[in-house]
Amino acid sequence: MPTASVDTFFACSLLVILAVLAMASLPKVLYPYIEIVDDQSTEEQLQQLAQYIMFNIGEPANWGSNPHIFPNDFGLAAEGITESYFLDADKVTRMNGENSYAITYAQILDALNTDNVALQIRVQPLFETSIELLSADDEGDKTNYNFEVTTQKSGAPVTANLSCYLAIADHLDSSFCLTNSNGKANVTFALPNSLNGTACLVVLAQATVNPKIASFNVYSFNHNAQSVKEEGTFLTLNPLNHMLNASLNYPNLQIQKAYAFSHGYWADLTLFSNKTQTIDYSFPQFVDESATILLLTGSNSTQSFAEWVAYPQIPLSIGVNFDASTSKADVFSFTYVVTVNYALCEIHVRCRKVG
Amino acid sequence: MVDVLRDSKGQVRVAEAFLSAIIIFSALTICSTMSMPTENNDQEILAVQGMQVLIQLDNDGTLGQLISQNNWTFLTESLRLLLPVGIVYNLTVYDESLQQINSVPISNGKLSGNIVAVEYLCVSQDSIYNCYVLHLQLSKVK
Repeated sequence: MPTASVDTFFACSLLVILAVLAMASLPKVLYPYIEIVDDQSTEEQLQQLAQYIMFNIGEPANWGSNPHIFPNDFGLAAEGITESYFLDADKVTRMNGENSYAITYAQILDALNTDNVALQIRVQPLFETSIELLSADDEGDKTNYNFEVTTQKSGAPVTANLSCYLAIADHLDSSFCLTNSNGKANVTFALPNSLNGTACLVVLAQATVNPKIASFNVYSFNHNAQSVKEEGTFLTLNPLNHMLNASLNYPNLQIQKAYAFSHGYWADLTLFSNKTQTIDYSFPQFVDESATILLLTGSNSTQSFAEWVAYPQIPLSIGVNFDASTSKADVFSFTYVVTVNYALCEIHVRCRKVG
Repeated sequence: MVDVLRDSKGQVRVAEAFLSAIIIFSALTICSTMSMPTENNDQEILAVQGMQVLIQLDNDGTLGQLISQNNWTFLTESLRLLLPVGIVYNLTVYDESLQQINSVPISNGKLSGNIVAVEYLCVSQDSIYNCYVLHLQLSKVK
């Protein structure tokens, strides 16, 4: 064999081996780039979906306020409002699974016309309000209760104006104060010992820097009674479209008082209809930037009770619980500050492509 | 055998093969050391969040009012409450002639890593017409 042929054979073999090696290693080199481009495309699509939910009023546009209508097209924006990121309080309320008129996760996915996205929507106030009972001092004919209210955002204090209402049976008391620079305030109430049962302390907070940044909490405690029953034991409360539907969970329950509280106002609810086990009330739309707390007091044969619900019914979470998911790598999270009932809230839309 | 060793025919082809090998290995080396694409979309989301917070503050005229009153403390606190936890911001407010008007920093920490900037034009809703240019810088806490 001529020497030139041997050299050519070796050279060709070397080139073939190199070409094969290059072909094998090229996908490995390019894979991260392809994956990131694919991720960016998915993230953009999911972000557009989240924004669609924020800006779209849905179809029909009044699906939130009418409990018998379910959306063909899902969107949370309020109808006839030019402000951006202004959500409808009823549409938000209907995402809360505790409300009897709530829509389901499957209905949301159907209305979004998507079957390849897993979704979670969470709505919550922009900061937290917590209530702690510090002391209860019996003074003969009355008991003095001392509470500590804390307003904070992720551990950092928030200075806020507080409106506090204490209700038990037909007794109502109120107090207004300001949390200090540590986000704490002490609130004291005296309750007559002639009363007994569950009492509720309603606290509505507005940040001093901006009243639209609001939060609330309700603390239930027993006054001259054995124990506090769980929320929803006596009544199931379903607010929607400035109407409150109260279902009585036991026969022979007597409703004593029905209140609506906002930061600056409170009112008695107006009885709309009274059936055997269901009572409907209407409640006013207050003009201040605050959630409305609807509170009903009543009694059974032995003691008085108090049940409450917020309107819009937040905080809420609907959809897939990604926190329990083993892999969070492909879960995209989008956070928006939105206006609901003239107060600002935080809405988190978390989603992942499936299939 | 001696002829094969001494024969210089075909050496150019071997040289070509080695040259090709060098070119291909160089290309692969350069590819693998190239920086990964930056996470542009994360920054875009951050910018959207910043812009959205400014829009919300400006919806009812609060933003312009706070600037007109030089109330930098309230503006700082409002941004802290409105932006999600884990985001560092720094806001600079300019007047119409692009002179900085905030006398104190409107910030909640030191920006680091990938910084995204948002420009927002705010018109006050007071009886006196004022126009402000807001430059909001944001970054995620690493």
